[in-house]
Order: sequence, then structure tokens, then C-alpha cells
Amino acid sequence: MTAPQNPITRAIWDGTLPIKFSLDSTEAAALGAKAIVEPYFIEAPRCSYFPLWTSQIRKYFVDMALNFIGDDAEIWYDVDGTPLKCPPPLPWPVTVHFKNFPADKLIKAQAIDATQDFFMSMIKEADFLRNGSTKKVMNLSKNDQTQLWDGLWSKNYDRFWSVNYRLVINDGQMPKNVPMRIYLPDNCPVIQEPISPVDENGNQLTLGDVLHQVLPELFPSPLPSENASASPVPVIHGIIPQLEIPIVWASQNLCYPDNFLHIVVLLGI
Amino acid sequence: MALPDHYPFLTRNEFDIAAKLFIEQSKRSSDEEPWTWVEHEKVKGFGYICRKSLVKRITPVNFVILENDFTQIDDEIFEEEDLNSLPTVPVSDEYFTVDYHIIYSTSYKVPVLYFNAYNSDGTLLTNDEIYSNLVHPLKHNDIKTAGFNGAISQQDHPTLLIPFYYLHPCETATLMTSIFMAVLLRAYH
Repeated sequence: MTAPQNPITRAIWDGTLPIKFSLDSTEAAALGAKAIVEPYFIEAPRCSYFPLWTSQIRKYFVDMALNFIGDDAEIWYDVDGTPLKCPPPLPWPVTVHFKNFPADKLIKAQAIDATQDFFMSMIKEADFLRNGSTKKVMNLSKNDQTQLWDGLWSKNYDRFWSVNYRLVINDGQMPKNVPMRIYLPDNCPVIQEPISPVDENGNQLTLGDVLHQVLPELFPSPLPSENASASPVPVIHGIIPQLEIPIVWASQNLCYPDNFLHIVVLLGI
Repeated sequence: MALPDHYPFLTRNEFDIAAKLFIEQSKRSSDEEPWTWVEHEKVKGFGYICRKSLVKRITPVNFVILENDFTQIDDEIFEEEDLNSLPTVPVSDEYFTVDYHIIYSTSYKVPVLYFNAYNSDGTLLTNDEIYSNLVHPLKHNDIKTAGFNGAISQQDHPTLLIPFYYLHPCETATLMTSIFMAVLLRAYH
């Protein structure tokens, strides 16, 4: 089956952001770096996971004469001193570490395996939220399950979306709940409430309706506030979406490869 | 017997109530460490229960008593008097600590077991050590082959936001239903 020709999901898939990876300065000498090691700049795909780029980042630093012979799983990243977890990727300058993996704060990937495990758990959870069971995902052929992951890490839109399409469109059935996660600042726990896409009368809810329902103190109304620059705003894939978009449409078109809508709430721009 | 409306699926509130009742019960019955209720330091609605257990390490030794006072351990054969000269596990390594947490899954609407296991020096047990020490040998294969990659995975604890091992919850609802049915049947006999 071929992937749907959806310009929005394609644009999301192709979306990248520039990230600067700098070697941790305290490790540089211990790893045999003689001169200053220039940072590594990449256009990182938004729809990806850090462990998938580790081998190319490692290659860059090793080519710059860094003496590292450990496993890829030893490599980790921090932003402003905070170890970087898996999703969602955001545009920051990032520090690369080759030593002292903080196993109490980060899951130590058997690099790619743990990421794939995590990714498939999310896909299963999204299916459960939509349908009340994981039958749809578990009934995918072994081939299709592998194709999802292969399509993701090899950045092949058609391979990925030809399987993912069936999950996300859900055979045209209105999902019971919309798979979504909301991220607030200051180490707040991730907000993941079961969200029905329709109200009691069967009317479709908008993104604004949902934010107002889940975070009424931050979003006192489902409509955009007058004082835009001081109000909290949702950010998806680096853009500020309109609050009027239907949540089901957002779920089908703006979701990450793990089938979840990951929404970051910024408290005033 | 009063049950939550959508048993085996619980609301957050039903989980909180059941967890606190469970704590009361555990205080009365067990000689182990009691369970305690913990909330997120700032945000309501992310409470969970936890307790620490000391577990005796299972050293992966294949131990066979042979005839004539010989013992085979792994591939070596020892005479009775030589057994005393075998290196023993230092006392501090004989036990390790397991933090058991029971959290509420908002997606699956059931309790989920999260856990981490530490050596006495604070280092984490490896994946293999977790299987050999915490999973019954007869269940190893079932657990390792369940789902996509086994029934035990790692994820960020929803309240503490640090990595924990957890038991996949997809079969929990079915299990809770079957336990309830078994209890019902017993009550009517």
C-alpha cells in the first residue's frame, strides 16, 4: 500500500531544526583532544530520536581525533546541565558526553534497541487510547511492524506512512481518546489525560477546547486570548497552531511518528 | 462487594482510594516494610505508593551433589573439604534493594508496577540480573517473549521523571477481571 499524499504530514516528516553539538569541555582532554574541538552542526529531523543520530555524531568527533572506543550506548547529551531525554526534540545547543553516563537520570539504551522498544510502546499506547485495545497494532504483520521502525530510522516517508496511515486514520472511526501529551516547564510531570475528541453532543472539540479542559488556569477560554504576548501558547513541531483546529485533525496530521501529539506549552513568549 | 463503576478500569480518584486502603491493609498484615503514599512535591494528581525490599541475591551457580562427598559447581568438581576455600559472596553483596512503586496509568486506567533494583554501592542491577533475581525461572521465557520486546521495559516514572523498569500493563485489566471472578466464585462456595 502506498503512503497517502498528504502535504502536511510530508512537511512535518521533512521538518528539521538546526542543532549544535559541542563536546563537553571537561571530557575533551581525557579523550585525547589536542586542540579545541569544533562543534558539530546538523539539521536534525524533527521526527526522530537522538539515539538514531549518535553514530554520525560519534563519527564526527572520533574523526576529529577523539579517542573513544566505547559503546554508542555510553554517549549522552545535556542541555544547560540537564541530561536530555528522548522526546520531543527542541532547538537547543546541546553538549555531547562520552563518559559518566547518568544511569539514574537517563535510560541507558542498548542504544537503538531500547529506542525501538520505547517507540513501539508508544504506538501500542496510542492504539489503546484510540480504540480501548491494542488489537490493531498487535495484529499488524511482523513485516508491517518492522516497516514502521525501518521507515523511521531510515527517514523513508513512504515506508513509514504506508503502515502508519492505517493506525492514524483508524479506519475512519472516531477515536475514543486522542493520544496526546502536554509538557509544561519547571520539571512538571507530563500531562496525559484521556481526551475525548467530541463533546456530549457529538460535536468535535478544537485544540482550544481541549487545552481549556485540561489546563483551565492557563487557558481560561477555548478561544485565543486578547493579550497574546503574555498568555501561554501551545507549540507543536516548533509552530504555534491555531486554537480553532479540530483536535482529531491535529492528531492525524500533526502527530509525531509515535502517533502522539506532543504539545509544549510556553508561558508567554 | 462494591466495585468501581468501570472495573477493571479505574479513574485516578478510584486508584488513589484503593491504594490508600491497600496501604492500611498492608500495615496490618505484613512483617515487611509497609507501603507508603507519595505525592508529587508541587502538582496534585500524580500520587503513587512505594516500598523498599531487601532481596537475597541468587548467584547463578549450577550446584549438583555427586556421590562420595563430591560436589559439582558449574564445571568444576570439589571435594567436601575444598568447599570451604571457595570464594564466597561478600556479605554486603548478598542482598540488593528493590524499590517497588505502583503508579496509575492514565492511558490504560490500571495500576502499573514500576521498580528499580540497586546493589549496596548504589549501582543499578543489569537487565540480566533483574531477570535472574526477580523473575521466576519458569516464567523467563514468557516474560522475555511477551509483546514486542518482553514484558519488562524501561520508562520515565510519571511522577519522578527518572528511568524505572516497569511491567507492561496491557494484560493487567484481564488479570484483574479474572482475579475478581475467582474471588466471586469462592464467595459462592
